Amino acid sequence: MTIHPRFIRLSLLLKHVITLSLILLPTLFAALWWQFDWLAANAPELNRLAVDAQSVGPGRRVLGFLISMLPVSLLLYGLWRLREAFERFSQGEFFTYETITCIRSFALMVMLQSLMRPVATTLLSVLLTMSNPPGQRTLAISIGSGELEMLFVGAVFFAVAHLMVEGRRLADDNAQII
Amino acid sequence: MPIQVNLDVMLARRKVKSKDLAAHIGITEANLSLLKSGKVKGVRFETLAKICAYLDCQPGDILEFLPDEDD
Repeated sequence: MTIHPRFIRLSLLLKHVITLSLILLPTLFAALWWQFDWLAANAPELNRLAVDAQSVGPGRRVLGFLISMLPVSLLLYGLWRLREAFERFSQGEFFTYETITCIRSFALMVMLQSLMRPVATTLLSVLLTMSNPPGQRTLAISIGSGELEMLFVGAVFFAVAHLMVEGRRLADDNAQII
Repeated sequence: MPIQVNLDVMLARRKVKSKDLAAHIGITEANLSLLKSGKVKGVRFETLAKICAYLDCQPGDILEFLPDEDD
């Protein structure tokens, strides 16, 4: 089977875009938490919590960064697997078991990170308002349409990838019948 | 596996080369070798019919059921 050069170029381009995202995403998060005063003043979620940026010390900022990285790290792993899938696409591996499981892992991570996001937001609300005066400490639990959309998209991708894995298994079985 | 493939025996009896049989059936020699050694999950009726026609034999001459000692 010949691979269209345009498809190879597209796969390689997407692979590089994902590689860039893998570098930029954690760097951006680290930079935002480094500039916590700016983040507290401009992030709508933190504004709603009435976080006093001055009262949040370096230790809590680092902890906040780590908590916010919980869903991001799941997404990063998913992107890493997606990158592997595009690398395999560029080499002409389309419906191999390894390629399909890469896509399935990506879908699973998208789902998991959308479930982890509200947990991280709740933990952050406790962490960032724990030094507020009594009555102003917050335990915020929120599930937005964004999380639900991501969960839905992830679930659809996961179901399709799972079907492809089963299809691959059937094809492998069939190949062993002479 | 209680099914034993006796294809190599039939090939020897009929003095037919694996290469010629593979060409007649339309499969690779590698696949025919797998079939001879019983390392396949199944045989299509179509393949079996072609083998029987070429070797002038019955399916029972090629496939044999060997019950396990436990059965």
